[in-house]
Amino acid sequence: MAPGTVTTRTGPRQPARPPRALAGVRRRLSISGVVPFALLVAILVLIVVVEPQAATYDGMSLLLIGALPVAFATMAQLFVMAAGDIDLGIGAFVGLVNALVVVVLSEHGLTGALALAAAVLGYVAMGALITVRRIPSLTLTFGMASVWLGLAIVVLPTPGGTAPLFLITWLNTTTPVVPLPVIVLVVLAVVCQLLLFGTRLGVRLRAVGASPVAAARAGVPVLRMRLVLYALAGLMGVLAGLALSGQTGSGDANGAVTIVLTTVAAVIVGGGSFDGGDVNALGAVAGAVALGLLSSLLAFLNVSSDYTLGLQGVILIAAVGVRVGSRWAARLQHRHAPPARRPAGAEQEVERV
Amino acid sequence: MARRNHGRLRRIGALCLGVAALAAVGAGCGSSSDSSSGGGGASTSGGGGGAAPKIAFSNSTLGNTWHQQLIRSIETAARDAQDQGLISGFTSANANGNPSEQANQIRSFVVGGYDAILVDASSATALNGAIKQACARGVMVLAVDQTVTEKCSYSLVEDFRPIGQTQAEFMSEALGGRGSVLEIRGTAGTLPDDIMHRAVVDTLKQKGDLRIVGSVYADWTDTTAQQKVSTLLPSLSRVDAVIGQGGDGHGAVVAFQNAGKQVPIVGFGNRAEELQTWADLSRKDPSYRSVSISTMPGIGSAGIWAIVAKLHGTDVPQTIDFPLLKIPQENLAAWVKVTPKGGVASTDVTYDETKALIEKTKAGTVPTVVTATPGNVTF
Repeated sequence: MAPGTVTTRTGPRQPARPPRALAGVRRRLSISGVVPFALLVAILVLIVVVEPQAATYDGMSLLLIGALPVAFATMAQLFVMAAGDIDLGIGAFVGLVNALVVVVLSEHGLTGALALAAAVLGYVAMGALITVRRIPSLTLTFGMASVWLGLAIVVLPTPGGTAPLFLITWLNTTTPVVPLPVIVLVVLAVVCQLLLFGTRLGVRLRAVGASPVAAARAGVPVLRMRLVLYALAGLMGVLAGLALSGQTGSGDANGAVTIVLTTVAAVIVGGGSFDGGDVNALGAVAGAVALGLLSSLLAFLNVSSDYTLGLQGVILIAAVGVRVGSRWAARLQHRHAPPARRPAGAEQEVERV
Repeated sequence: MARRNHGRLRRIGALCLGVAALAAVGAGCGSSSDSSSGGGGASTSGGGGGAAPKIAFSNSTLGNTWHQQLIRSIETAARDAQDQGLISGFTSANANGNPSEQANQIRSFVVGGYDAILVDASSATALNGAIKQACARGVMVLAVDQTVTEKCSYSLVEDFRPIGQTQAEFMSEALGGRGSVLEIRGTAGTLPDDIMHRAVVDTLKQKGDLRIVGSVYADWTDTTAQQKVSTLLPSLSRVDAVIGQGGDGHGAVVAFQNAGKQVPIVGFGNRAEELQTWADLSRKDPSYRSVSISTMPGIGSAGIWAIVAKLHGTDVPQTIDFPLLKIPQENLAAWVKVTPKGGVASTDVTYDETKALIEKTKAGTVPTVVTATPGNVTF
């Protein structure tokens, strides 16, 4: 979109930049890349200062276990946003998985596993519909939110049911030294980041999100890659539902409907954008954890949590503001250089792969 | 080539940065794990001897007028308890209806060393994990209003069945056993909605031949009820009665009036607006009779006092019963007079009344419904 949006890709026909511009780019990257981690560390430090008990193994487990379902759901949102789409149905989908887990999986393991696989296929079908019929994702996923919720209510009409014991046991495992939630969060973030940025598949996945036209021209199977993104999103949604079930021990069709905007906010705070292909898994997980810890911090500070939503909004705007500001500063530095054009950049990267 | 390297460098840099930040979290916990991991409730629960205990209130949502009055009732009782030196601190947090955020808040209160947590749950089950963790660390959890299924938590419970049953019985009688009913339900997939709906269906079946011709979900909110009923009305040829779940009666009446239709018998739910609307309808047409029944937000004060009782050594049963308030036609005028605008007909309870309620619960003698004039509600 705007010149300079692309961070890793630069224009193909652009001559080597003067060193000064490169320095500008580097500074811009470091500033916006640091935002979610700085935010997370700042909130953690504040929490520990206000409530030293939080810095214990037990305290940290308690404070972070709630972040697990949200972090998985954020990764689901991240994959959809990597496709250049948005998913307003992820909350209801996690609720559906929660219902399937406590009603079906806990009774019949195999049927339950098949049902969860079918749920992932549902996401793939949704991605296919969006891609082939060119339905705006905003519209379709919003509609699908009602479908997921409806299915969940059919499966589990009222809150209840019991999660399979292995999930509950697993989530309450006492790991040595580092609490389990921290390990899961780090592994999740690193695996997703490596997949997107360390593999050939990852480059192709981001390329179709950044510019389907350019990617297609470069020989990337756009439909297939987009389906992979939606499958990954569905998979992460299922994992979020499993984590939620294990954590609550029970099911509620409405239990996760409200996390949608948190997942979008986490992706944005984490350094992603609505442009497609432009996401950061490490940042997004950090963002999800930071936004979750915000309500804990406010609870410790005895601040009315009526401010939570507002404060999350302020953080979101500040994060985007830092990014826009640093981009603007960088552009000032190399305004004599021809602007980097995004589609061309994506094309070039694909060509190189 | 240089640019490409730069990109790769950046990725590696970002990766390291992220890992470092997350690892810092882990290290922070690890370094002090020895001090607490085996501590269990010792560090968080100060109940018993020493300083007076601290109570936290985890609220689901500011929501409707009912909820706001519940919060006022809780805060007033907590202030009283604090003034009397029965508790040393009180705090509250509101989760905006988001169960995962509410679970976070409950866990934060546990970490923050509160001795008891009063919960108005945003989900009957989604908080179970957090509540179990609180119980395991010696923190008392008591649920009011929207209760939870977790067994270790205490709860103050109302029987929601009579809300549907009373209205359905009244309508059957008033219509002579025949007619068309519009049902206004609460929030889909929630326990109270399910219970009240079943009560309506069962009672109508028993009492005669009233048929439910339409049903809308209005989230116990007036404006939503008005919207939903207005949308549905054109498709209904005849509605003789409206059965709601509380907080929706006024909206239903307005919807009928706006559509230029005759207002049927509407069951009300004790909100000031509903009582006022009902009184107006009865004034214009003295033959217009109805009934109003709902839960009392004063249950919040009972929640605080029950916690105080338990923390000060009273033997409290796992579930404490609390009655509903029914307002028949003859008590209407008196309740209209005392119910503040935007409020709900209710009464707060005192510490002594709560202790009496606890004893009555043990004896199984708490009525499910009380029908009394203001000032004469006894527990």
